[in-house]
Amino acid sequence: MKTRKIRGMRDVMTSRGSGGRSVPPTREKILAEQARLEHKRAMLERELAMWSENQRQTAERLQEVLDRLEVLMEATAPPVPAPEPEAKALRPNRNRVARDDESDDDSLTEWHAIVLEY
Amino acid sequence: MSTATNTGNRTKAFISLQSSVDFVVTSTTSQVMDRASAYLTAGFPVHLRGPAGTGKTTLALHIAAQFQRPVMLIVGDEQFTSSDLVGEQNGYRYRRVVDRYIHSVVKYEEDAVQQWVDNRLTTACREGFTLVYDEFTRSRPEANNVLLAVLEERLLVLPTSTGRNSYLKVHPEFRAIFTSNPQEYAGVHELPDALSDRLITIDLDYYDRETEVTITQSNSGLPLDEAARVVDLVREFRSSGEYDQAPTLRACIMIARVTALQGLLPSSGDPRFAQICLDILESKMDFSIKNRARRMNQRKMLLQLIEHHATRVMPEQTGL
Repeated sequence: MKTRKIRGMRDVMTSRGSGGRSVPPTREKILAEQARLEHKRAMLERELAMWSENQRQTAERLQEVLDRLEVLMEATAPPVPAPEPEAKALRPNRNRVARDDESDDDSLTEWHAIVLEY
Repeated sequence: MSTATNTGNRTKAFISLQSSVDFVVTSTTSQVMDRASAYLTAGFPVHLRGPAGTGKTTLALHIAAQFQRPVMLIVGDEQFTSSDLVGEQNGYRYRRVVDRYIHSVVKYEEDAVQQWVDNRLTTACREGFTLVYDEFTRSRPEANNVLLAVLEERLLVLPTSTGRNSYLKVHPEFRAIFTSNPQEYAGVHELPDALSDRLITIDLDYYDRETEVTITQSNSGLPLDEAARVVDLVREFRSSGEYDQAPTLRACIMIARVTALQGLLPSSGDPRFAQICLDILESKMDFSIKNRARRMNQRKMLLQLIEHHATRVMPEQTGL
């Protein structure tokens, strides 16, 4: 016979505990408890179905929000900077000293020659 | 000068010189040109000084063309300030930074800085162009002060305290040619000693007869002997001293060109030629109601000069 070692009061079986683990002695009590448990199982299954549906709906709403955020971020994002212009192949002056407050897009300067007859 | 577009590109203009078909080089102008070119090659600025109508500007442009560099042309003006030469802070540049490094945080940063715009002297110093500053003594002396360091220390001092470099090292190929009228001319300021000392001044006077005849003939299309009649007429009027503004080579070219375009020849018997001469030369004397007698004497003298130098016999009289 298997014996169980008792370490404290929590290991002492109460009368309700021993009653809950035992099979009811009469057929009526068995059927009554069986009916109660079936009812409870149906309730928990409905609850689980509701939670699953809520989870699916929440996931859909989350995806909609993420898509909308992506659209708004693209609209407010700064423009993509133009690629750095390549250095001039022929710089007219090698002694040129750039100032700090000078425009940094100096390579975009267009020179326009005006022919003057004298 | 061309205006900049709003596409972000900046447009700058320079002058590319080209001699016209009318331009002639005589021995006199060639000598002056050689001297000026030698001084400029040595790194010294040249100042052509002389009365109006002696070809200073044309000669300056021709000298500048010899160096085959782009030219910046400035014409002196009473209203000039230093910023008209070197440039100024003009307009603002806006900058906006949107930081989304952390996706749930958006950081905006905006600022505006003033933008410096070069003017012609700065552009010429920076790029190594040839500067032709025509009638530069018509600008006030304080406006030209910035030239002192440019011509001596080869350094352009910019009037801005912003930025790392407020000083611009002048390009080694930068050259400067100045022209001016004598100080007694209206609207001409006295040349400061400090600036005058930095310039090599070549005084130009009226050209000799041969040069004036050649230039007049080239610019008018008249035959050489007919152009000589016009030049002799104007030169004798100039030597008479009976005027308030000296008649110059321009008067010769005006008379000769209009005469040629009208299909005329310089002739005292042609009233149209006489009228052209009077229209151009009579204005060299101040107009005054009280001075009518002097004006009549001047007209009489001019008609005598026309009679003397344009002795071509025509049947009709001038009627003047």
